[in-house]
Amino acid sequence: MNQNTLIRNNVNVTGKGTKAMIFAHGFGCDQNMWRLVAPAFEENFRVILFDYVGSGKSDYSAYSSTKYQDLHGYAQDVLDICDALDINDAIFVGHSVGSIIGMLASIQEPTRFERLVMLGPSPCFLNDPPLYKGGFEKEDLEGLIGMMEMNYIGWANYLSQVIMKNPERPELFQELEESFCSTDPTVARQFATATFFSDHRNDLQNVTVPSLILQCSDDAIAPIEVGKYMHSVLTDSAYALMEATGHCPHLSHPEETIRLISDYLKSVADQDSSNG
Amino acid sequence: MDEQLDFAPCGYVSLNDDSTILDINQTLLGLLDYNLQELQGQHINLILTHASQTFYQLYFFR
Amino acid sequence: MIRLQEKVDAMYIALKSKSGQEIPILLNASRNERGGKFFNDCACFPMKERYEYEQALLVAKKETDQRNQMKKKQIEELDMLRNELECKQNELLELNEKLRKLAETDGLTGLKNRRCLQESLTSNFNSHAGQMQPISLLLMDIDYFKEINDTYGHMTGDRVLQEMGRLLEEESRKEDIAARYGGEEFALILPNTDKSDALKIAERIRLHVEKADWGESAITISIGAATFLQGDTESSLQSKADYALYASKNGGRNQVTHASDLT
Repeated sequence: MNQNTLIRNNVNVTGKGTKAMIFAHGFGCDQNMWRLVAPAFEENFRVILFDYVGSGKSDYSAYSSTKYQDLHGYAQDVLDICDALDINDAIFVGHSVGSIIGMLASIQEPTRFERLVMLGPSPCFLNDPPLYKGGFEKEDLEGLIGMMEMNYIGWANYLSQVIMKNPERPELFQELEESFCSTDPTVARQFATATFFSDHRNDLQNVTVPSLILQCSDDAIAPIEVGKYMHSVLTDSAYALMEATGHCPHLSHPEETIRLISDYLKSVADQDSSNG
Repeated sequence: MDEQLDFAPCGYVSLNDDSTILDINQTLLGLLDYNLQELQGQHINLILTHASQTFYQLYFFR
Repeated sequence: MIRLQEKVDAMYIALKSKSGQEIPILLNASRNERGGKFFNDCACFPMKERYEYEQALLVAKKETDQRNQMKKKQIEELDMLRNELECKQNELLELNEKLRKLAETDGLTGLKNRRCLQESLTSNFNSHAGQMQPISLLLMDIDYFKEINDTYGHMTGDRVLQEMGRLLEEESRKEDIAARYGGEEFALILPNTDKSDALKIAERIRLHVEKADWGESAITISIGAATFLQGDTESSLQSKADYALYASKNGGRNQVTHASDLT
């Protein structure tokens, strides 16, 4: 079972430290997204990278439409990995929906996690006037999924037929995977739906693990209001507004990302030692 | 920008890693109905629909 | 993608004009270094008409997918119904088989009942008609059964009947048919058996009953045997066996008589 989980989620463990630091990717990506950030923590941590089932080089045969119809199925992936590697008190670093998934996992088994670091998290993408502004109207999200269809998932049956008929052209398969980090359009569509149409605002109050919210400036996916909302509802949360713009600071501004995470971990370590 | 590129039969835009518009040709400006001063130095989001902004961040820029 | 692969090929994306109009384009991009700086150069091709074709195609494809899915579901449902029907049919067959067994079995002894015996005789006659296969019939009656009932009660009487049934079952060969003929009367059809073999079997049964341990009282049976002769019918064969049984009773019971030895 343990070994299965490690293969299923394409788990990669590096680093010289003993404390676990788990990096979780977001929608439409895989662990490769952490390539500019994760190595900086290898000196002091046991760095764990993985792909959610249905993404990257995970085992697609483990995908189940029922299990992964919402984010709880993905949260189970995280808990399975913790179990397989016997991880407790980990630092969990998640990007976007990856951080919400980690948050859900921490509600289920809080002892697995010591801190949550959330890059561009959003508990709910849809606007819910008058009090909540997620940044998206329903039409926006449908437009986004429509765009994915035009680019990829809508033509999937056709594409998979082309691929099936061209076994001598494996690069077609590879291109798909490299471009969209998922070779299975059904999976991509369901993950998109689970990601963009979920509402986990009510779960925020159940989070007990302390957290750091890293909010990008000018992020079209997770706007500043959403980051502030998370900060106001999450107990024991720290909030930092990054100079980085966009939604992928770990790619566009790796130095700032590394610095903010390190500073946070250092400050809480100092706190803990002065308290203890 | 040389004239050939400026009026080429396709739109051209050059972005830096902050997704700021550095340069844009006349063909694209005409298509979007902007002039150069309005767009140069602006974020790409200004000329993307909301859904495209998200799609751009998810897929293009990474 | 632009950072991971340093290029983007044929990405569909929608631009927004100054007046807010949506302009679908295809975008190609490459990442280039000039003077120590990185530039993400993009080429955009408007694809308004093509976009509309593709949208229409996509809608048609979605509809086809939906229809296929519906068809698949319907086929699955049909399969399920068919399976259900098959199950029900099997249940019905089993039930019929059970009923059939029940209808031809004697409740007390578990042997065939008289009606079934009659049918077996008929079918034996029909299948052997013209072939002259010898067939014999034994009719057996427990001696002084009324006294057993009167002395020890019906429970004991029933137990004797059951035990007799078991004994007959034990003594009969695979092709033989043992049946309860009436009250304390039993019958055994012996296909492919001539007079001398029929007598041997009858004698063996008689002896077996005599030697068996019946508890308080000894039990014996009288047996009448008959073997098929040219011109016999199933009823004449039964009459002959019955006649022979009478002879055994009159001759002092606990004995075997063959019909052809009379007169």
